[in-house]
Amino acid sequence: MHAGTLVTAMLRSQGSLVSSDSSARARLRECVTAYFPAVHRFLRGLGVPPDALDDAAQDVFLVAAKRIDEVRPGAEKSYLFSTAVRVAHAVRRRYVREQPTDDIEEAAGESGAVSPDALVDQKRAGALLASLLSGLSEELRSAFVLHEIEGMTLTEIAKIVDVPRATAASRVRRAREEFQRRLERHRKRSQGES
Amino acid sequence: MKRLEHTDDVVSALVSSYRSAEVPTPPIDELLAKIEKGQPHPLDESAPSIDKFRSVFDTKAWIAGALGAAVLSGTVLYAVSEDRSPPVAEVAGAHTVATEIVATADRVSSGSASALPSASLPSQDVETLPSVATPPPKPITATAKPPKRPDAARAAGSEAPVSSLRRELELIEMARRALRGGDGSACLSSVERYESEFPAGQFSNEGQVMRIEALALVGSREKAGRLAHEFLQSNPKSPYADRVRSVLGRVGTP
Repeated sequence: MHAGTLVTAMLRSQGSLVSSDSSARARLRECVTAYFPAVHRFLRGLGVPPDALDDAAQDVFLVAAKRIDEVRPGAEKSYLFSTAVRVAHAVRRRYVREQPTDDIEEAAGESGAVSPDALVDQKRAGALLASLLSGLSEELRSAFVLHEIEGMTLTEIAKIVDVPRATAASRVRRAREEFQRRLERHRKRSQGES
Repeated sequence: MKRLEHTDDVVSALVSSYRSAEVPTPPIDELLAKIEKGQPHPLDESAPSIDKFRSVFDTKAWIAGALGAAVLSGTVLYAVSEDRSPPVAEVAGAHTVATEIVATADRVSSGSASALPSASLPSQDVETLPSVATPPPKPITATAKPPKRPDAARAAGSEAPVSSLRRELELIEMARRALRGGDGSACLSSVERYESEFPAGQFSNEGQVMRIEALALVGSREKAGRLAHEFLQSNPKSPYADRVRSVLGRVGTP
């Protein structure tokens, strides 16, 4: 059963199946190291307020760690993101809900033409993105961030937010429309001013 | 569905601001210590169902993928073994792989893992994970090792696939070592050799990813960027996608 040995070896090297403490710990450490930044960023994309981000990111790992050894190697990020969606939901409920702002210029700092060049200024780009995202409902926002920013496929998104694929597809489509509408409005305004 | 960032420059700038935003250094040890306490967390009940993320061991692709990931990240110190001792676990679908690779972990194959010094467990070295920029602390001893039990009989007819996979691994490992050692051009020539010998090899993705990283390393930023985009287009959900994106970030291609 050569192939069986191969798989055993692989699984062991991935730290699953063979639940020796040290390999489980090593896998956990890998996950934290590899995905903490992604989870942190994702939570921000989901609208977790800046001062709650560090704690929320830790919460994701504290919750997910309890079962991460059952997760298929390669699916860790999806599982963590799925946990993050739920943690973000809880955190957002705890905080005063972000007010969708129509005053994008104010949120994005000084007004001016919106061009890729102008958005080289990271802060400004970040603020504009946050403002555009804040106009989306929680469901649409997570779909948008997962698809457009995190580059996930519809099948992955469906797993992460735990809905059928068709629902995920519909959310992504509506989220894009809403996002583009808001971006267009912002473009027109800034062109009018410049 | 084509992403907006590919059709709209402004969205592309916004997305790249998101991706390049600073993230605090993870408090790894503190977090792991908390995790090890295993205390209940207020949000435990809202944890996602594990079912959709659970292990399914049924595809050759997955096995090759896991193996490739391990190879690329420097995990596996491999040997092609003629060992015929029974495996610890039987896994459905494993028969599709007509050969056997033994990680160093296999030394513990029927014993308990705790009997081994932990240093010999092939758990992934975290330092090697995210980038190729850090030089390796010491050379990886990833040469093919002699069979552990040379007395074992060789499986009839298994020689060809074994040596072919062994050769694939050798070339990929050679490329990986060059990359880790910061020798981009050596890495590139190993990848080229790999691709010419194995046009449809099991580790073609690993080869592509290393080529992208090596190109960035030797300063061919434009080509690295172009190949990275192509890779992400055709492998959007590859486990290497993040790694390739981080190269894109480094070479500064939008």
